[in-house]
Amino acid sequence: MRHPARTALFALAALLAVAAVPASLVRAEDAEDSGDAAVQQPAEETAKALFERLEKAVNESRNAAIAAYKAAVEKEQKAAEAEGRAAVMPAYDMAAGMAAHIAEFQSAAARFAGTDDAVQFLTWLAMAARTDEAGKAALGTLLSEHLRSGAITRLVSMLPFVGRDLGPARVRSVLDSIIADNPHPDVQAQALITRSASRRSADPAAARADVERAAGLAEDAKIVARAKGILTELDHLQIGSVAPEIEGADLDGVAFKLSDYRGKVVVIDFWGDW
Amino acid sequence: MYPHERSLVKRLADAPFALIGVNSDTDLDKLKKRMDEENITWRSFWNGPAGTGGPISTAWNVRAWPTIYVLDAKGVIRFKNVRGERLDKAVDELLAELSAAESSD
Repeated sequence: MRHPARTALFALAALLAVAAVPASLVRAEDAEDSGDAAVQQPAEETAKALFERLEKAVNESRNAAIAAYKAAVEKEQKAAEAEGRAAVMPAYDMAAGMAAHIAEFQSAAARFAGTDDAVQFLTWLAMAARTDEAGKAALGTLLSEHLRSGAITRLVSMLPFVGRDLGPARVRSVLDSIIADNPHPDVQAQALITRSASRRSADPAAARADVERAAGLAEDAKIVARAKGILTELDHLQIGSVAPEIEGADLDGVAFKLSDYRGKVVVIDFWGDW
Repeated sequence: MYPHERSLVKRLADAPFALIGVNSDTDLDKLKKRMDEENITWRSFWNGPAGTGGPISTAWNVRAWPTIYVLDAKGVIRFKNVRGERLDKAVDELLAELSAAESSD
């Protein structure tokens, strides 16, 4: 059996990874120091470089927070074992230290306000601070100023989650207007894929038509592949379908095919050691 | 997952059954060490250097790991994402079906 503390830690790491909610145990004073460093950056730092730097700082905070939490858990376990009592898991403060990061992303979004360069900062805020005023304001700006932008693909892919508080009808109308009015094929294609997922059970034919349209429209190879994968799943990966062929190589580089195993009951397990 | 897969593979070593992996790790040397440690003996396709973004999982629209499909002897998908006891039952049901079909031939 897994140790409960380890399980708690895995659950925490999974939560952070899934929600992409950065967290930090860095004290406010430390965070302010890094704020000063940001001011001293050369003015010509590009939006992309700035985004990467801010994101890296968030990751460092998050890793430090996880390490600190892990250390606290281990310390408590040892103490509990020595004292012959049940361990009491320490609380984990996800919001600690986030305010400084949020302020930095807000100031970057303000610096590039009204341009495509603002979108990545606003999208980060809408995700990471989803339930706070900062996140809601960022989402509001994205929806009022950037619906015709070519830089909103990522936002569109996450819209049902990021816009959960808006309700499904509003999310749907945003997607409809992007599909109708956004001039960028990849953004339109992503909106079609997102809309398709939301009406898969209610209207499977319309859901399939959306994905087919996305596959034809998209220019980005990744979006094309994603749309084709969904079509394969809808058409060939249902219970009762003959499984599509897999041709590839095993971990030693030896070629083989799924159909080599015809005549046997086969369990296909998509796995990774993580 | 590994202990259950190991016991399934061991229990059905003589049955017309195969567990086929599609592995999405990117560091094969590290993976092979882990497979030795965990006694992972079943064969896997490699999903390539793009990991979870590789061609096989993309073609099959896999968005969560692990994802499980259970196929009958004709290659027809009969179960999806069954785990634990339900996976054992699914496989046993299909093996029984296969042996009934063979004895009626």
